[in-house]
Amino acid sequence: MTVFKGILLHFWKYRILIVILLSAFFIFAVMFSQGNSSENYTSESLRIDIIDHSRSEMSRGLIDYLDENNEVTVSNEENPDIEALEEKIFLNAIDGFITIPEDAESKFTSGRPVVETTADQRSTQHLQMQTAIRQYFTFLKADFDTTGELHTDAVTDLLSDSIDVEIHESVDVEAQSNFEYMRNYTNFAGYWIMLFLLILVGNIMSEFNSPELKQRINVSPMKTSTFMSQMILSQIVVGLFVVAFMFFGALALRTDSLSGVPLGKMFTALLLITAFTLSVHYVIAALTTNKFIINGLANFIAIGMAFLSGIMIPFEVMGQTAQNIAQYLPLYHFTQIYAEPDITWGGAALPMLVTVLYTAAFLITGMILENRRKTSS
Amino acid sequence: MIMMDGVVKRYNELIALDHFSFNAQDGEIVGLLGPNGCGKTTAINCMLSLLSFDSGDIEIFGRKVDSNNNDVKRRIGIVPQELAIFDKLNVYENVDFYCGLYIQNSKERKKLVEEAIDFVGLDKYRRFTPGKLSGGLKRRLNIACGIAHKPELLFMDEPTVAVDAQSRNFILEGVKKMKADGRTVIYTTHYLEEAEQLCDRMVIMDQGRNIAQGTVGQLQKSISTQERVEVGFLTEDPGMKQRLSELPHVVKVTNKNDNYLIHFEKQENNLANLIKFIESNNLTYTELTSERSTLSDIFLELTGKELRD
Repeated sequence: MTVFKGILLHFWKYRILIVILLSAFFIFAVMFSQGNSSENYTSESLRIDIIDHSRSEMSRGLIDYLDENNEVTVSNEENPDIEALEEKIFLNAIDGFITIPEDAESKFTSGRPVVETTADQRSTQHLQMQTAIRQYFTFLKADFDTTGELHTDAVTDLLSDSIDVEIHESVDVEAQSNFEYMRNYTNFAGYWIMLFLLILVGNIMSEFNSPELKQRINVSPMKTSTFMSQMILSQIVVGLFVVAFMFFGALALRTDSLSGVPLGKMFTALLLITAFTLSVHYVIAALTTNKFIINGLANFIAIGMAFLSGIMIPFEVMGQTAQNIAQYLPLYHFTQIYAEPDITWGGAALPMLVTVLYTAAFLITGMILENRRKTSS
Repeated sequence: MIMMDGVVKRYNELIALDHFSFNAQDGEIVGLLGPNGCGKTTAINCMLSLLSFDSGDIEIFGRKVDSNNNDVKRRIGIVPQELAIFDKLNVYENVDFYCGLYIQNSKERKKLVEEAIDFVGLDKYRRFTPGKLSGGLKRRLNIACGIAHKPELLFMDEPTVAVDAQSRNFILEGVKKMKADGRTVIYTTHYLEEAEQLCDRMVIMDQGRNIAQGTVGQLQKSISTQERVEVGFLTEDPGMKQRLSELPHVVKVTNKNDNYLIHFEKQENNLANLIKFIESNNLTYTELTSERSTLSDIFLELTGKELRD
């Protein structure tokens, strides 16, 4: 039996754990899928805070329109506490807030984005809020282009009388919804891959790295480079299996809802996070063979990084300090590889490169620690 | 086959090997004896180039030890003191994995694995994982993993620790068979009976030093006590110890329970002289036993402590 086969055989012996972990992932993913289906999208009354610096006819019209079907709270404060509002979104006290700048009307007439919205981008409420605002300004713009004047009352009445679902069901919205789902799915898959590989590979390789077994391997004529390459190859095979399972599982789950999704970038991102995870494991393996420490570190690294990288909490609602820290974490760059539905390979190149550099850095650190451990004996 | 000359190994302040010298010839079983912590495992690890050493020379198969010398490594096997087997792999898979580190050809390896499993008597247990094996069977598996590739030189580090009597006998018989096949075995133990039974030569270690070496006969001759006689009398006599010590060849007389233990420097008519002494003094003895000095006596005399200390 080669080392390659020996390690794969070990993974096979853990097949029940592997099936449980992958099944758990898929159960979450299916639940996610059902809850986010655009087919079942229904509007609901939103809780929206509006900070109106403009106090213009246009802003009043928007507030009146939104107030028709939602719980709207208007604030005219000069310096509102943005952090407190973000906290309210995090605590689910409101669905989002809209900031109308002082120069809203001039922005509108010059065709620039008029208002700024903040909400949990993974939620359907965010989509609903965006749709409502877009509807209002689309109609207002159409009226302004025709008459050259702002008739907010007329537009509000028009929108209140009938809801134009065409915008709601437009191709863009559907593509955006597909993208949102797949982005969340890939975020979750990235976190799961980290946790899965760190625990599974960590536990298996801790056995191979135990001093007694290592001694036997070291006295054998097998070259260290041969042993290492077979070991890494077997881990890559397992990593590829997990990535393929999660990626193609997503394709099967969302067969009809993949338009507008940058699948190639997502697949690449999953491969890169797998490589990064294996390099992290290499560092952990060079530090300890204690399974309790390995499992503890796996959870600490995976959960900690997922929290700080915007996978578990929307990036936008995190504090500025947390956002600054996140930019130094590889999982954040992993999410940036597929951050936009229309992101190009050129646009994804930088976060891909950063993830690759993190992988290389951890591999080198692992090699240094491994050599230091060998020479210390 | 092995030549170790004046090897010194330090762990900071502690000297694990203190100018330790040792050699083994083809087809020999050489015992490395000594209490726990005397440096046996360190000596083996230096020979296997698992540990670097501070000074001295070690040659195996006529070549200096080097962790990159794969031709030499191919001819060596190791049965470590600690069990070095995979808990998740069964008996066959464990032996196959370790044999695979030496033998790439799968057909040849399969044959060797079968032979090794057969050799240690684990044929019935080939699909068992180590968790389902008794302590003795695990030890046998540990041995099978070390010998499957048929090494010319085998290091066995305390292979019978915590093993039941049946498995111990099985292991000892196996070592004898390996010697019969022409292999050289370096056998460390602190069980003297095993060493006496198995080894052609012995090296006694204490505090990292080689304090004596040779066959059992040579080692016995190297110490003052050659024979011990234990005798007990019906009546107590306060001057008896002094009178016994005046017999020919007596080195010393000690008390052992209610009896006297007489140490003789030579094995010449000691028992006859003692019986003559008993008859001439009209004494009645309750117990009288004689035995040659053992390795335990040798160790005790050389180091001043019991081997199992």
